[in-house]
Amino acid sequence: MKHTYQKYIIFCLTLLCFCSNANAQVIDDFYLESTDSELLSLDEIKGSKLTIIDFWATWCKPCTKAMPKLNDIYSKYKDQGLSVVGISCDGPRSISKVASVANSLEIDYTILKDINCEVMNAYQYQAFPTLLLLDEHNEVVWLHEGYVSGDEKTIEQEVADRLD
Amino acid sequence: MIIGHNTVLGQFSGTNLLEPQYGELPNQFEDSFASLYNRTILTYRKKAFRASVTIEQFYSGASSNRNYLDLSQALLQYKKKGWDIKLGNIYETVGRGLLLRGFEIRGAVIEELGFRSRNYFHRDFLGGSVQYKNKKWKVQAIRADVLNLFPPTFDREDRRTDLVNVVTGEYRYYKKHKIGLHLLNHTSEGSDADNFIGIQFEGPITKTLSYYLEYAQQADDFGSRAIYIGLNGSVANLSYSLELKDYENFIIGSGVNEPPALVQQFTYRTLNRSTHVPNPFDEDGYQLDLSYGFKSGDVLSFNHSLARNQFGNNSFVFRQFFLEWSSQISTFIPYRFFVDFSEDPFKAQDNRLTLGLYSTIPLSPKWVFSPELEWQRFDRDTGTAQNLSFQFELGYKSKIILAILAESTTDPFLIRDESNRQNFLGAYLTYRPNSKNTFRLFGGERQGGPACNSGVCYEILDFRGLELRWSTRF
Repeated sequence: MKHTYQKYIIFCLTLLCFCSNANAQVIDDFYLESTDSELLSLDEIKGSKLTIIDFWATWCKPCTKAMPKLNDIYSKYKDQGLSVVGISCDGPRSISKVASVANSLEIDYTILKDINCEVMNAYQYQAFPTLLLLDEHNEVVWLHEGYVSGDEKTIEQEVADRLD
Repeated sequence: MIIGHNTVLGQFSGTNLLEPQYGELPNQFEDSFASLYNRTILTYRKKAFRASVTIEQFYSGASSNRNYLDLSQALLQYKKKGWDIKLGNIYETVGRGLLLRGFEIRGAVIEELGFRSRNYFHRDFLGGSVQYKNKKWKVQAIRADVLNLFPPTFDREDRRTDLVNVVTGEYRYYKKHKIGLHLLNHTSEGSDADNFIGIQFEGPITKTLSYYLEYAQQADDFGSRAIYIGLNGSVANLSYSLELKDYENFIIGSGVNEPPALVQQFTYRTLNRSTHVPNPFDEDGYQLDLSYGFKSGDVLSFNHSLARNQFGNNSFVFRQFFLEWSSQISTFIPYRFFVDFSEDPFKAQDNRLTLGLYSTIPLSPKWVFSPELEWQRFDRDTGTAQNLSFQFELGYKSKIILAILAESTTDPFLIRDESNRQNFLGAYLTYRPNSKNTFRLFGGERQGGPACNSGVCYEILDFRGLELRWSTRF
């Protein structure tokens, strides 16, 4: 048994070393329902140059603090090819609040509902909020977890740098 | 070699969570312990195919029977042009969870006093699922064994005692309206098969008002049923949602389903511990949620919920009234103030009053100070009890965060010795050197108790000692 553990730990550490340079992830197209009850695919709503995907939930306070800031970034850069997509991971307990929370925050970008959180699970993102910046090929070019005041400046800088 | 193949054959990725602990459980009469928990997820994707494995490990001493090394999940998935075929460990929710609900609580490593082995908190289904969906309709068939809450030290047969067969279909009409029909067959060892049927309707009533209705029952027993109705909409800057529930004898097997609670889950510490957990054996009630956004950016939120349980001649009524004001001082210091009043007979807490103040104060463009203060009082049969919680957090962007958390309670249910107060003092240091790694070190003593996350409630234990969590993505 002891040898099994040693082998496992060695295996994990080797894998960590080997994979630390793995390529950036590509987000495959998916279909989810919007807060307007429409079934939409990523390809339909992504930006011509950049897309921000924001994984959030109504019960996550940093998420709802970040969303108005993302909305400001969306308003400023949408004409330059930026799209923002919010994916709510609210389960059955709180999914009914997704539309009303987005409305009260006056969010203009598309909000999708993922009751099983399948998209986030498929790519193993663990934190709320997790923000992905995708290029036109859906490749993740930047990732940000969590939100504290001031992060919106970093996010905007990443967007602006790539739209220049 | 892996990297070389990566570019040619597909996309390889993974995550790892490593959590060593050294310390003690203050409620237990035992020596200090050292333990190590590790969870590795490896995923390989190539076009429409995805393969994934999850390996969990717990180690707490050379000869401990709490140790395990477990291939806890494996998945093969094919997803293309509306088809989604999965074989292995899957997560599925039917409707709003009246009949079936799987979940994974991110970052929640739980330990149960009876087993004292740590494992990830999730409920998955081991089996297969075939789904086809397009813009008009969706059909899905699932056959799987449902995971219960026993840790991996138990045999597979003991951890998966419920077998479910599900056929579900949804059809969209007038573009935004949807009707769904769900059939579930459930078998558990030593009992006859039960059949359940569910139906759901949802869609917009007006441009700003939408509805959701779901009804489910045991096929041959009207006494086993569940109804859930939700309305949500907005008028100018006012957003609202109203939900109704009526659950009667509706726990399937060892709990493969989870009807919506219709009670708000707050992230505020004291309120989160006080979250009402629904009992689908007999519960009815409602929840009203209102939120008004002012032109200045201020937000006023109100939530009221009622849950009534009837057991024989005894009736228990949970009531909650919550009001939150979210604003800012001088345009750059945001704050939230809340007040909550509840009656909670299940927790034997009457006249429960909770007040809280949260703020974020920028010290410079990169440094932020965040105080979080909560006070709670309630009446028990034995007298009045109070809970206090203070957290002071200093953050350097999202890279480095130091948080000091102090909690205190006079609740006789939580005091361990002859004194009349129990104190907890601990500190968290979080460091994110880059977007792939996060380190979080805890030192001190932290309060356990009920915790609710992602809509699911569970129990965490008091802990005193040191704990490091390293999350990495590759």
